[in-house]
Amino acid sequence: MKISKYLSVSAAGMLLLAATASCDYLDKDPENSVPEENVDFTKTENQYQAVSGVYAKVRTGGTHWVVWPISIIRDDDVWSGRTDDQGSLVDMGEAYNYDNSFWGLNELWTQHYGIVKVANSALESLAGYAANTKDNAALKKNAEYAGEVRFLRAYAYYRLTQTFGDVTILKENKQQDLSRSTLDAVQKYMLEDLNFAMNNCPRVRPNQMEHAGAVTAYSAMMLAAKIHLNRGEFAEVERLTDVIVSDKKFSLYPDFYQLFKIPGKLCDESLFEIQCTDFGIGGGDMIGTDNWFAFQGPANEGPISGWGFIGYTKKFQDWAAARGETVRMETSFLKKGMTTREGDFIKGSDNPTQTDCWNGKAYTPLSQLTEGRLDYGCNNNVRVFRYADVLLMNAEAKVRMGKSGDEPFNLVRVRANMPEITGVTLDQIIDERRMELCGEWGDRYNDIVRTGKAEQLLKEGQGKDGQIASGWTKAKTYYPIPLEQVTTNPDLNNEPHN
Amino acid sequence: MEKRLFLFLAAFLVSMQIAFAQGGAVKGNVTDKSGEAIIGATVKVDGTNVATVTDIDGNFNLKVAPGANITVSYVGMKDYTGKTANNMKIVLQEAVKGLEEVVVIGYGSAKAKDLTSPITVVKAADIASTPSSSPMTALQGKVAGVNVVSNGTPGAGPTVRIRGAGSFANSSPLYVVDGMFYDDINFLNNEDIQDMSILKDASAAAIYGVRAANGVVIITTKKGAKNQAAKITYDGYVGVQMATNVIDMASSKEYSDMLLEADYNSYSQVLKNSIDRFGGSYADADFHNWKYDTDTDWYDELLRKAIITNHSVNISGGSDKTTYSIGGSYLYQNGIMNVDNDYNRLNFRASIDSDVTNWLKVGFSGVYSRSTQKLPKNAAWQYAFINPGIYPVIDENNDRSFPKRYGSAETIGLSRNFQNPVALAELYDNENKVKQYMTNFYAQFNIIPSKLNFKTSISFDTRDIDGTEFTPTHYVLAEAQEANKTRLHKEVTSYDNKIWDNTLTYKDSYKEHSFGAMAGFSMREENYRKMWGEAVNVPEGKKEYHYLTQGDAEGVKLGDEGTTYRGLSYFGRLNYSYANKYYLMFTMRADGSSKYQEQWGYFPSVGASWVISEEPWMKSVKAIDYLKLRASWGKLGNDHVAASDGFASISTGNGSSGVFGGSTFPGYQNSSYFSWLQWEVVDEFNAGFNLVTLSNRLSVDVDYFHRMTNHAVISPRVPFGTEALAGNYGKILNQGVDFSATWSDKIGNDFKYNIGLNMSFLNNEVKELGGKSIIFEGFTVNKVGENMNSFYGYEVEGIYQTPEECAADRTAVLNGLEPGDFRYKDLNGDGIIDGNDRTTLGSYIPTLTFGLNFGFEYKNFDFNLSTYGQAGAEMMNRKRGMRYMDSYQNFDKDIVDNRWTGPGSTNEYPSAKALTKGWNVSDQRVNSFYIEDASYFRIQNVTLGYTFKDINCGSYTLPRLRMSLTADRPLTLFGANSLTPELSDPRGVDFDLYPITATYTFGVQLTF
Repeated sequence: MKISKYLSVSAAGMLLLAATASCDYLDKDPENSVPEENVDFTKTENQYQAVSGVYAKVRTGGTHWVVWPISIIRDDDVWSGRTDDQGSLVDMGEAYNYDNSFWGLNELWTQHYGIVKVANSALESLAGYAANTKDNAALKKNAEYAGEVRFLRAYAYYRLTQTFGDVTILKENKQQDLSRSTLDAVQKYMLEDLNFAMNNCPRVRPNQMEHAGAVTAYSAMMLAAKIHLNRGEFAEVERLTDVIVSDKKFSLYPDFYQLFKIPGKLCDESLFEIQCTDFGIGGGDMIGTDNWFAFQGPANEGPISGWGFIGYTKKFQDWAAARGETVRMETSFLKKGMTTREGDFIKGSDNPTQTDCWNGKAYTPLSQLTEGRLDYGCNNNVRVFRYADVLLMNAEAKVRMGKSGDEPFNLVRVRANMPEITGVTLDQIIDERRMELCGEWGDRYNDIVRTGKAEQLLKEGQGKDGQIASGWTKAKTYYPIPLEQVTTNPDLNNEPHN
Repeated sequence: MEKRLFLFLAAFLVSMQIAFAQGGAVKGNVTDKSGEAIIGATVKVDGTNVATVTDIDGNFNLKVAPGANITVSYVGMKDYTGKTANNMKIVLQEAVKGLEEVVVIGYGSAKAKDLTSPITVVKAADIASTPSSSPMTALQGKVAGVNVVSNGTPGAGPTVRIRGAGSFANSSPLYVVDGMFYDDINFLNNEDIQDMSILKDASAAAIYGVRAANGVVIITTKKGAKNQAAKITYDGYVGVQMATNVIDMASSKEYSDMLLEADYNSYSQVLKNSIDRFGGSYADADFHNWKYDTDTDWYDELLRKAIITNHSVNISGGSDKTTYSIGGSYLYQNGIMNVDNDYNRLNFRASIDSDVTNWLKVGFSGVYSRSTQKLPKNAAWQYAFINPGIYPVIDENNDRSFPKRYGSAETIGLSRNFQNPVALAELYDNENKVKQYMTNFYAQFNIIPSKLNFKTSISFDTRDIDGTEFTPTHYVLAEAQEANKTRLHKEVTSYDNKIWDNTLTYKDSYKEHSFGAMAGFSMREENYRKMWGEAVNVPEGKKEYHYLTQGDAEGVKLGDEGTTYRGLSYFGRLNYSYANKYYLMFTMRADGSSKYQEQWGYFPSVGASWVISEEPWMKSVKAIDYLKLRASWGKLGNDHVAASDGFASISTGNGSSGVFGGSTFPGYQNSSYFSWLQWEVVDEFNAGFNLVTLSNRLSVDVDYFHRMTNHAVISPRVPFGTEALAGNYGKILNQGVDFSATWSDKIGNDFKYNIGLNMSFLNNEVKELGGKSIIFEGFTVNKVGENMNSFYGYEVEGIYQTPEECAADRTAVLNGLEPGDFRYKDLNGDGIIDGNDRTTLGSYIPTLTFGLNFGFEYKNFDFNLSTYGQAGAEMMNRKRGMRYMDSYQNFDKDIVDNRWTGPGSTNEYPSAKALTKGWNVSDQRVNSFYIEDASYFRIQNVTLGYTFKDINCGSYTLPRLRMSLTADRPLTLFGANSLTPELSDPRGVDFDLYPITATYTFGVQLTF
């Protein structure tokens, strides 16, 4: 049995060889993936990269299309625009039946906490750079940049508190306790961030910034003023807006109509814009919003069309006309059947349950689009904070403190070709805000809630042109915390921290 | 490294030296107990490779000295062993059915009677009569515990689950084809397969370690037999496929009635537009009398009858040393969607096995497959459901539309949610060309003949897929269905896998003790590569123009991706039996994988069986022919889960960069969520018995199984995040009983028949979710104590009937509800309906699947009937639920006919108006109305055959000819308002699907 001996020895040998020689066989790097380098914190020239990432997150998360209607449909002027799609928006915005299982509330929640998380980690990165340099110029930049990030974080919390009231302060991303804090506590937390930004960011306009359109100390002052306004701290509002006004950096853009279109991008009126770009070329990549424009594009054919949401109520249109509004009406109302001054025809929908008047402030004429681009609103920015609001807050604070608000107030009126008013009253200011800021970020709802007018204006039958019964009560000021969040994070049921 | 081993192997082969001797010769004859000659029995000299096969008279002639030990074996007979003498008369005794059959198990084979686990073997003949493009489709209803969900797209394979779903990630079994590992066997023709062994429990499957958790199917391609003259077989069928169970939709008039009942003011304009443009009349004041000249039945427009045909030729045979089998097949399946979609596949296959010396056996098997799949646009089925009949497929007046003048929703004021389904299907051009080569080479060294051998086997599988998708310029509907530039997407995908197995097998016996041992070592590598490119403005008109370089240079997109995983395994098996009564088996596999951080896993199993009927005290129990009890336990792995999860710790690019005045500043977003994953591990216990009784006529197999998946990967959302982060958090239990019984008997001499029943009961439950009680995923949730992927929503209690009822109901008042709306159950009893009143509403996992089969042979006729069904599963009718997107969506006939029309009309269906309201129809308000019973019963296959045999034409015997008629899936019964209860979505959401096709074929089999 000579052969079998050979064979068995060979076989055994082979198994052994295979077994021993293949130890390193499994140690294989994954394909198509270069290990991520850790951030090199000594290269302070790169420290703005983390900040740029936060702006990107505000752009992608903060303009998700469903964030928009949730933010603006609860007042007496704007409604969802469609009853046949996203019916919950009609239920919530007109009948004030809040459905905590509505996906959009959850989306708004997660998108804005997404901004908070990216901001938190960007601040960690900036701290890493700061710890690695002794160069004073670099450290100054570092503090400036941290100010920008803290503004953006406060902005995310501002949207969260406007929507939900008491929310969780996420001081670090891996925080275990997810209990909420009271609205008061969250506002104080935001003001801390904003104070830091005021003290460290340059006192220039965003369009003067090294990174054009980045937020500045003034942006932080304005957001802080808005928070103080909600808290009824009018002296603070006056102080902060006075600084912005008296520094004379900002001015109203003379052409209200173009303010919201391509020529008005990053103009001297702008305190904060969410920026997009098509890089000025007619093809290839484009950086846009998450359907913020398309969502409120009118029902139409061709490029000047969108999903047909967001409508102005008839009542509001009539009110504006009765005031003798001209330029602000033309700018704000994109009506079915009209042809815009640039020649875009708005066909509208045959369905009478759909709106016949869309948001003109989201309209970019075809003639202003880069040749080759056909997406509604592409290459335009989303206007968030502008100087007109600063002036109106300044006027309101002054009137509330028993002073005259005429001067700042009439700057806004005159630009809109409206006659000046002397001895302006609080109600006139609230009305002016209603017209000036309509279709922008939900200030009307905030104004009627904080001035106690909501219960009267949003009572039964006052919804979308009186069609929907069931009314607003103080208990409906905020939307409920999304059910999915409550279910998966039971801490949210705890009594909010002070 | 690998190279070194191959060199070693080559040197090893060359260095072999051989010499062996031969002796005299004996003659003999083999018959059964009635004295009839047994043709083709194997006569083998023990301990050698010397063997022959009996001829047509049962005679054999063997070159061996008298007095040698021989074994005579034949299928269905007990083995005969004895010493050779001249002119032997050997009478074989009938065996208990199936027990002597050789069953392929992992890295070896065993006789059925020696198994400690329930392994089901499916033979070529069992799947031959099913006209299907994938062999697994033919298994539907044939094997207890194997759940096959078929797919209607031409060339698409079914979803297969063995013993329930034990993973959130992937529950498809491992297929081992001639030693090569696959995730599916859609490239094989039914005719390529000799047999399939389905390993269901741990003691059988654990030898495949980390790949075994979802069960293992071992497939052997066709082989020749020794000492057999060439056998040439032609098999072919041609048939026609047609859709069954197509949903009835509302006619234009019914659609109009529904919408106008809902809200005349809102909806009448679009309906008038249709009449203005396409004819009809709205003159009557009562809209119920309006007339529509256009009434498009979109399903009808999309469907056609389609051909399927398959032709295969197999040639096999063998000498006393070498066997071979060679074959080719061609399958063509046309799609039932009335556009250019089909599948064709050409397969060639060869195998050779040779005892080149008495110590060396070598062999090869290979399959080459090339196929072309022209895909249908399945979304067209969904659009066929939502589009009303009030506009036509073609509208000659619509001059905006091109390349054809398609009817367009926008011409009557419908929104862009209404894409023309026919245009959608016709403008879709997507084709995959697949070339696949599977080869296996092996050498087996018989170190001690019949006792110890060493086998080394190497398998390669290469699959190249060329995909092309071309979108022509077209205009049908603004934005939704238009392209002003052509777009070409091409991708080249390749898979290149290799496995090298080495096994040392030993078996021996001493008196009543038999034992065996196997030790093995295996290396494998799996490569996946994909490159793709996309360009716009590629010229249209001819396929020859479809190159990326013909398109615009600007805006070209490219992609390149790939993975390589390596595996290294050591495994072994020990088995012992005493007196054919007690059997014990241990297996162990150590699996190493380059994919995971934790590289090594260990998968042991143990199995035992006890043949009670062999006990002396049972011999007197005549009623029982055979009774075996078996039990096993083992651990199995599932490596179909990702190695890690998380978001690239730092993400960069345009999406993470801020825009500053028209250009970007390169940014990054740092997120710290990351997790390493490990494979899922199943702990499986199995206990069962096999009973043969009533004079070998009834055979019953019953097995209870308890499978617990540990470390199941599930992805809950991170706190406050949209991102889901996977972790090995879950624990899933599948337990149940597999039952199968077959009865076969004869009546008279000519009538043989058999009846088979198989049933599988399954209970699936999520046991743990890493501390969470519920994880939401779209329409379904995973909740501890419930089925995996249970639907979640409100329970419909009834319909509000009267205004008084609404006025008295707080929820109705708060939500402005009217009669005809759904009344949801207030589950937490707080008097108000909100998200907290949702509950689980069942899942798409059936609790019972069953198959009942009947067959007979009478003279030259043969007949087979098989059925299949399932019960206890629920599905979600999202087609209806999609109304929330657009209330102009069409209605199905069932909902029209049964709608609430006034107090007392129904307490189940909502009113027409209710169907336009978010309270009743919304993805956010999933409710029990949309969850339907997915139970069904189907006549799976009916085949009638007639065989012409032994027909002489003069001195020439004509080849054997069998002709058959088959009806495959002629009838399916179910209650759900769906095209089919067999859903491709594993969660059971019914959305866009190919309808069930019934296939009627005529087949011919010729054997020379």
